[in-house]
Amino acid sequence: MRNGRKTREIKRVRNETLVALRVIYPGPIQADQLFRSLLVLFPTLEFDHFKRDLHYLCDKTYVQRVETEGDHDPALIPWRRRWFRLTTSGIELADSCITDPALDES
Amino acid sequence: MMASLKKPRSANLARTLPYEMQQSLGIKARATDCITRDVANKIDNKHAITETYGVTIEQVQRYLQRIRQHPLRPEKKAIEIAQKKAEIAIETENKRTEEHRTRQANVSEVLDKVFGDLAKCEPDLWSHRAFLMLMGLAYEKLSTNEDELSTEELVKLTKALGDACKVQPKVKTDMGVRQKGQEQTDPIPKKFAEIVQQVYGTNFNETEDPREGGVGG
Repeated sequence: MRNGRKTREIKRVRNETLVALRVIYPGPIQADQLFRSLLVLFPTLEFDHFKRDLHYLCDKTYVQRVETEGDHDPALIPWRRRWFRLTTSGIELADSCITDPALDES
Repeated sequence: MMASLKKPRSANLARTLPYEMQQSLGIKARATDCITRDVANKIDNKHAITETYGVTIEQVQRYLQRIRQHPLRPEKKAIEIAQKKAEIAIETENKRTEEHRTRQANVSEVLDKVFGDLAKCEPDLWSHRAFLMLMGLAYEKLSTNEDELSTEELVKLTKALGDACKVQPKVKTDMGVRQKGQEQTDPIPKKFAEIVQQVYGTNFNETEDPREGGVGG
């Protein structure tokens, strides 16, 4: 289920997410702010799609969710307000130290 | 008439079929495919063609064959144009991505200069939502080329700062939990005070009012 998105676009969004997170590494950033900055490149990107990509990157352990102490119940925090940061393998990928065929655009 | 049939030179060779022949065959000269189809339909009328124009149906077929194989056949050209368009679209896309990435690199430099080493905010400053929010906003504004904070964002920021001031966070470190009043190893970058002052136009002085977490009004 790709929700009508092309493979190339999906890969680009995921790659740009990593690039954006790399900018503030090792700091985290909120999903909403990340999403808004991506809208510059992908004006038609929807948050649901982006959420799916974030989920994917988390599952691949390139990105991790950061839970702050103020989050009493992390599961109840809306996605837009959740914090994310790159993991070690995420920064390696963003720095092109390693490659992932699933994210290779060529 | 035969001379024009022997030397096809352009994609519109269909037009070089004699007008009378086109009329007789009832075909449209502008579309090669039409000619092919229509001639094929009328192929049984070969005697009429030969009688009228003095050419055999084989000659007409050879001619049409040559049109089909011509490198500038309209269909082929359309495919080439579509391919070129797709290439240009990808190039434009790549250029935009490149520009965005350059911008990201610049944002990174600015954030690094303004907020200091971002490593300092992790994990010590995770509970300092205000710091993170401010940094996030700065990132968002810089990377999307917007230069003003909206009222809503200012309210959010104020609330976050207010929360950060009310609840002096217990900061988790590798050494355990650090309580308020214990010595801190500069968890907030020095320029943070300047940023708060720029945003609010108020003072940020840790020494003036330590109970309130250093944010004055």
